[in-house]
Amino acid sequence: MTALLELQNVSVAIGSAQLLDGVSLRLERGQTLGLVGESGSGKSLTAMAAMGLLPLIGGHVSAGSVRFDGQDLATLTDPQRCALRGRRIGFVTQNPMTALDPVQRIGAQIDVVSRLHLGLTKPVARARTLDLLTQLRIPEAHAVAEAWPHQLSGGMKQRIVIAMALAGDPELIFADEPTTALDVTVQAQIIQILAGLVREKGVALLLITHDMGVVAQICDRVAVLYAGRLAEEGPVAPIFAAPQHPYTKALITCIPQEGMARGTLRGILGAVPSARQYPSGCRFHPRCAKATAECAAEIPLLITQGDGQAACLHVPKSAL
Amino acid sequence: MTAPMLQIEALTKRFQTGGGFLKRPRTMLAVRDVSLTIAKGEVVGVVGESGCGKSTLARLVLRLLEPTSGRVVMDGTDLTSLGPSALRAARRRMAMVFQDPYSSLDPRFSVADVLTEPFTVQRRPLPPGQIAEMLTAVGLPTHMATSHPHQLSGGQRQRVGIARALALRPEFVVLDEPTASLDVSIQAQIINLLAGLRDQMGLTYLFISHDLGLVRYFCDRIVVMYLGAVVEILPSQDAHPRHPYTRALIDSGFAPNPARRRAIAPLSSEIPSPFDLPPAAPLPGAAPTPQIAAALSDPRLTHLPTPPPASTRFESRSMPFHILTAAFVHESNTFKRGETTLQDFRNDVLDEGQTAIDRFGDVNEELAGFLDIGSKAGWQITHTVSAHATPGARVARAAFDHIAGLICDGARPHRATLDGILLSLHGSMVPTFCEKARANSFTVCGPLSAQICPSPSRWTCTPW
Repeated sequence: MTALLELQNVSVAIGSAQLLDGVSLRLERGQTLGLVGESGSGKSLTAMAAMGLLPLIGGHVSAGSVRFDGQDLATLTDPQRCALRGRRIGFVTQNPMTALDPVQRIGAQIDVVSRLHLGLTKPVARARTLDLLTQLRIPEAHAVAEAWPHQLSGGMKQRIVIAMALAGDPELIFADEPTTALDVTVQAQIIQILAGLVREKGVALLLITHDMGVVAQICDRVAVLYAGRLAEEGPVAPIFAAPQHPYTKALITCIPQEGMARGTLRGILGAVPSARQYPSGCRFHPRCAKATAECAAEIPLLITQGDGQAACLHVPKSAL
Repeated sequence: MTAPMLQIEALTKRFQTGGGFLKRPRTMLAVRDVSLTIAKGEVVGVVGESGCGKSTLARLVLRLLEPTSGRVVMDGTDLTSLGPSALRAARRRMAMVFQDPYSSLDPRFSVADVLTEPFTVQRRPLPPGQIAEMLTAVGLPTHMATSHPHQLSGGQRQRVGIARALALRPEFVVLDEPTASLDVSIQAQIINLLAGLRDQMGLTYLFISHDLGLVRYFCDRIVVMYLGAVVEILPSQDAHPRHPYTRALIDSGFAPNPARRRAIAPLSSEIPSPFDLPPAAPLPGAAPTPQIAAALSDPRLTHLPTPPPASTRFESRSMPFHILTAAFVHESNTFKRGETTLQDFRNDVLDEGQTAIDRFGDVNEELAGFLDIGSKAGWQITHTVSAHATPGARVARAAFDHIAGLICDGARPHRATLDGILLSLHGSMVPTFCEKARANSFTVCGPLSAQICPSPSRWTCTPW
């Protein structure tokens, strides 16, 4: 069966900088894939590559292919790609505060998506908008549709952005850190809404986040990116139970958990290197507690076994 | 407890918006009547959602904002009464780390300039080697002194922000969400740095955050704020939260463990606007019983009447709630009351419940969906009631029967049985005592204070 979204060895370059290096991902219908890593790991870039939006930032796919429902995005013309985005691929941006047009009423901003992509008339589009707002549990949908963005709270705005992403009835939704700017209580609501969409509408969800807690809560599979390369990928349960890559493990243990004694929280030393200064060998080795001289010399390959894969020299070949 | 570093006494801040033509000025109580004592060397956390007044509280404590009423006493000095020069002198002893390291550093200043400024402001000489020493203390290389903020990562900028706050060797530092805009991996670094600095320099922290998980990890004592008021003070890291709002905050966090995946608490509504909070109104058409009327008086932070074990002692303040009554409407009533728990009940009669929903088409589905009641087969919202609830206060079953009575005597012609009461904190369902629907009293509940809405469609948020 063809996956809804398939990235095969995708590399992305902006100018001479190679930002993404041979990333492969698969996402099936009705599945949630978490894409995690720190800022600068290449998460958003992967999403932009998958949507064909790289030209916006002056980048291009330098190797590999992106397939949406079996179609290679590279073979499509610009208008064809435009027809795909908004219609079959929805996008939820990171910052709801800047994603909405401040001088357009909420309803009009959502209407335009279904009018453009589904060819609906104004009244039908509005009815659909109100229906969507109600589905997203927005009270007094009529009033909200007539409101201006500045009148709504952050959580409400994020629901509006989700409604816009849903207006074209997409099969795939990209959510780029949809809850980073929100309170924990609102985050829980938004995550519940997204999980509900996957469960009830069977859409595929690519969730970009740096919070392993969110991943544990709703994702089926998780792909961990570090400095433009895939560090680990696989189903959620085994990865959290026994993370193979030291980076994955570090991302999990840096979240304070209930009952954790003070002083036991471990951060990850240093920061993600910039694309022009990627270290040799395993790119994580300067920050890795397990690093050896070998790690600096040899680029670890993804080792696949069972349903997951990890790229670390310390992973015993038989363990995966 | 050692000598108090800081005493906050009945601090209140009221903001007023300017009125205009045909527009009344509106007032907002950002912080209402907050009292708190912080001991030397203590780390006190303040949690709450956006708009709960935690950042305003932080600014009031440092007197970056003038309080409407109340006092802040630091080591015997009343900060709120100091004149400009005395205040400047007092500010040597306190500092603040700001939330956003991207906007709290002047882009035209080098790191050295940033770290020199506190000395300039306080008209004190910069000790030689001070900048290198400060950079080392916060884990930055000394050559960074010549860098400008745009050359630093978010984590590095926040380290500079911390170095600036600590430049004058303060005793008391307010940390206003110092990690909110950082990656979790960097957050852990910063928290560890702050913990280390506290031990080295003997600092006292007021740590503000919306992340209860982080606060529970880092703080000795935790203050939970909601709509400008303190609703609960957890005396220790592992204290058991009693207030439904605190529990709702805990339930909102996600543990990084897929095995502990849970149903997320059903959707809550928005926090009501802190503007123009209406006063508690008596019940229209139904005189409250004397015991209810007595409890209607001004809510105060109270110690639990019967303190649980030391580790779980807590202070709580009564706060506004919407009690949502959901009745299982079931005509034949075949279940044995008093023997069936709510969960059994839900499991056993799901199908019949489904038909019950169909029969009551007049239920406001929009509201039901909004509060996610609709998915619980058989349960329907019958009424919502606004109330004050003091966690820990014991309220007789009679109070609920009172609500139930009003519902049953109401306009609804159907034979509805009240079999459970769901407590709603502005919409967040806290079904804490559903399974105790047959109990004689409830621990978490308050008397009725506002109005019974005759129809759910007229459900309104009357928070105070």
